[in-house]
Amino acid sequence: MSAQHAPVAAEPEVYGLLAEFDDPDRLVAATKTAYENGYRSIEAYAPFPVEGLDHALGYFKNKVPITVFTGAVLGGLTGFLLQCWSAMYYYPHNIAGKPLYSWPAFIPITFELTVLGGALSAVFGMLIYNGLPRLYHPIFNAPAFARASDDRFFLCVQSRDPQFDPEGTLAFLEACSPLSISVVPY
Amino acid sequence: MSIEANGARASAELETRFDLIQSTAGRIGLVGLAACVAGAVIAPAAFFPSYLAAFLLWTGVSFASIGLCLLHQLTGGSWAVPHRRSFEAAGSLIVLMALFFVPILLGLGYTYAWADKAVVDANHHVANKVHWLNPGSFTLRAVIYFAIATAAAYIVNAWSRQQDDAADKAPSRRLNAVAGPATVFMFLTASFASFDWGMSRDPDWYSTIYGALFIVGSILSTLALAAVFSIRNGKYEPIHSALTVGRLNDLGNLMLAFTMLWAYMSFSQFLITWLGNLPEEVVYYQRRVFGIYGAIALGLIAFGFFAPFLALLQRSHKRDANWILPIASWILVMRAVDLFWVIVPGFGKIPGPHGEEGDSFAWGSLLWYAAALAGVGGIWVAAFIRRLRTAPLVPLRDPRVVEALERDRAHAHAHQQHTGGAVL
Repeated sequence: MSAQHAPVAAEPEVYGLLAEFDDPDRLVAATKTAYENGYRSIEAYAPFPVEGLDHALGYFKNKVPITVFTGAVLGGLTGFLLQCWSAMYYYPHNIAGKPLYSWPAFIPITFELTVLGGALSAVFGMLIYNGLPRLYHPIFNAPAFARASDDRFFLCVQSRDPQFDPEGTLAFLEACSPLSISVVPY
Repeated sequence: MSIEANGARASAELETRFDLIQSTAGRIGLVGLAACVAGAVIAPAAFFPSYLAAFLLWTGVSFASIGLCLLHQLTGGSWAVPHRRSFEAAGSLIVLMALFFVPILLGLGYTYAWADKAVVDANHHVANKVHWLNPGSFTLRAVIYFAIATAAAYIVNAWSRQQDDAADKAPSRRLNAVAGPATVFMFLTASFASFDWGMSRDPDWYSTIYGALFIVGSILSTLALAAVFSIRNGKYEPIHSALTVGRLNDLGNLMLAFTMLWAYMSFSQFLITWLGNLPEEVVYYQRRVFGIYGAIALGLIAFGFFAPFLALLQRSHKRDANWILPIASWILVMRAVDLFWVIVPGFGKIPGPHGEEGDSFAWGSLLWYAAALAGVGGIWVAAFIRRLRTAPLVPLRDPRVVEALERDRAHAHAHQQHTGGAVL
């Protein structure tokens, strides 16, 4: 209380600049302009999936499809081989005179485990690629950000972008005519 | 160019192209029908079942087209905007299919075992069904099926066209009111028709999923045909404006879904029969899983399900006409193979456990099947184009279409290459 720790010496570290919009299409347009202007460390936040936002952000490819496909194939193989092993080797049993290798009867379980494998790899792949769970994220320091889960749309240009320049980026974001622009501290 | 600018009428280039398709298809159809007449005279026993299979392929498309019009009326959405008028035109051809049904009635004895007195006397399973399956009631029911389908086709055609000229939305409101019940009627009609026309080829056998399987397969044929038609003519207005990347993606998704549904139902029918292992159920597969028919069955699993399924899994494929065109064409080929496999083997000798030989593969039928597919198909396509030309290619005053186009337009400026943009 007594000590005057004056924060004049060092500028507070900045995570990025956050622009607030009230319309998904304007967010997409602003994001697209940012990408075209060479910004790459940008992130957009919206209360619902906005069509076209992924492409505007430059996500033309992601690893989710191949992850899900691999998970599905592994799940299906597990299901099929598990049944082969249990029905043919571990517990061979004559059921209604059917052969031990009754592949048609194995298909429903194989199908279900294919779906399960795909679904689990989609959920966990999503979490891993998104870096979740994450206990702290500076974006929540922005005062208006709570409305990102309600009715506001945000574009954040991060300070780690090589093109980031406090004045220049601020001017650029102002040109996109957002509702507000805030500085996101760490 | 937007769709509205040209009133959705076919452009001059498209009219020229339609002329060409119409005359070519008409000529192929006439040659095919001539070959069919020859087949009916020379080898009626091989010809009539093949003709039935070809008839069911094209009739299925007409049935499914009516169903898809009704479905679009119920669900709305932009997926059907480029195809709505094609579905209407294809649905109206149910009248033509009623004409093509006459040869089946003429060759009843060659097509259906229940129409053969010797079979009925020898097989009590078949004899028990002749109260339902006899030429008189078979014909009467066919008349009823065609009457219901024609009424539904008239409703979706006439009321949709009335909307083109009407300022108020009365025709669409009427169509909306009847679409729900009409969908139920069409499903039941197509289901019972497939029991009569397809399933009774094996009169000693039954499957309750047969009708649904026929309908799902027919919808798949229709979607594939719509894809081939719109992509092949996609260079010309107004199809060029209507067929955007988003609409192509919708078509790809639908084909993927119906490929999976077809495989799921086909396999369910097989699995239940295989597990049950009952003599009156297994005959259907005993006639279809040995020798060359068995090879076709495996081919259907690999090329009828896995090939289009894996190809359509990729999002980028569904958004690329260079992928969708070959995939859809391939699906059509496999639909024809599937119908051959389902219809042609029919009631016949089954291979026994002590070396008894079953009926051998009907090689001769292949030729007649090709002739009937070309004959019925050629005339069908020519009549389809003729009907399609009598109205704008996109029903611009249909509230469902207006809704869809407005939504597309509202989003088009923000992400043109994402949902908008022409395919070709």
